[in-house]
Amino acid sequence: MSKGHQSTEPLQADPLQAAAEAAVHLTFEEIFKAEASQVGRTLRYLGVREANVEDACQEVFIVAHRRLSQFQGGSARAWIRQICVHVANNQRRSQRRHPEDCTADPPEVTVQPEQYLDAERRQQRRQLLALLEQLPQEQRDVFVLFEIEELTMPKTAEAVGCALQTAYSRLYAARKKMQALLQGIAT
Amino acid sequence: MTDEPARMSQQPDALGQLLQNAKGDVLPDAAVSRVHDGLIGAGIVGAGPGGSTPIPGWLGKVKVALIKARLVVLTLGVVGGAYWWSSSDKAEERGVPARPVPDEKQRIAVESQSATKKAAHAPVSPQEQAAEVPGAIVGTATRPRVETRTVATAAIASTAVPAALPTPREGALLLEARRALDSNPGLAGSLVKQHEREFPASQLAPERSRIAAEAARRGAP
Repeated sequence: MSKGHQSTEPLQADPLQAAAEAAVHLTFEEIFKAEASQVGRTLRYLGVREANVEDACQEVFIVAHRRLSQFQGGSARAWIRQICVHVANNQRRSQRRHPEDCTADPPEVTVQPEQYLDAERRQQRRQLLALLEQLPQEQRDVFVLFEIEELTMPKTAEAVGCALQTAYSRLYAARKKMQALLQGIAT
Repeated sequence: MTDEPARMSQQPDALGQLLQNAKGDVLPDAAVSRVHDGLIGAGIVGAGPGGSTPIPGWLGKVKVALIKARLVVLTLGVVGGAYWWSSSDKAEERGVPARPVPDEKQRIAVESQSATKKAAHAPVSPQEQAAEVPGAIVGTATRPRVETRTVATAAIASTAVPAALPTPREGALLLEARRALDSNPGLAGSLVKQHEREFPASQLAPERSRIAAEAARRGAP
């Protein structure tokens, strides 16, 4: 661990997480059933627009199906998150090239009403998304994968395609900035 | 694993609460079903009664290979069948009129030439010579060895049409007659007459006449 680590409490090895990341060969259907709902969350917090989350989710699994033969076992969860990072990057580039048009009529809502969320939870989600929007993209990817998706740091570094120490640096920079932003909102 | 930093969601501060709340922010089942339907539409998964079934990539490759193999076998079968149908032997077996008179004549001509070439080097026993030419004098002369022929080719040779190509038998007769000119002009004359009876319209008629004239000059009856 680098000296810049803020936390001094190491996590104990989680047997459930270790089992989830065990080297097992899963079929595409099993991967879809296990990861589909969480892939939507990952994409949303990685910066994909709410209206594009389902399309991006479908794209993730199309890519996963195409590359399934290259998946040599290991953590399907981390493998899918790695694809999510690439798909989200492509979506963001597409959003920059084709910005959302402002029209008199609001666009058709494609997302079902989230009736299971109360107002407070929806407000917290919006607040977190607003904070994440202010992070550099590299820091946001590492922060989301480690803090929300709970990947290990080596898997996080592998998913975003950087060195482990670089991932640690991005994580701590993101944490510092997020806390500063949250304190600024509070004050 | 023990080197991992503690996650902020486990801390009871405001940011920890936001992160803990975010972990429950998954896609609803209806959205997952729509994504699944999209994958079915894209041909990624198939719709089965108990849910979709995965289509492994290797299975698709095997199916494509089988289809290609069937096409290759079908093509080879068509080409082979066409070749078999066009072959003359098979056509004869099927009762299709054979074409073979020109080919048969050419083959007979080739056999005749072959017999002519072999004649100078093929010794023949006196008994064979006597059996071949009735009434001939048994001697030490040599004659061409007539190659074995089928009944069909013999029939064609004996019923030769006018100006037919020489057959091995008539070539052998005249060759025998020519060789007998020195030692036995009478035998040569009889062989010429035999040739004239059997092959009246032979292309070798000029040669036959020349041998007959020579035999007559040497005293043949």
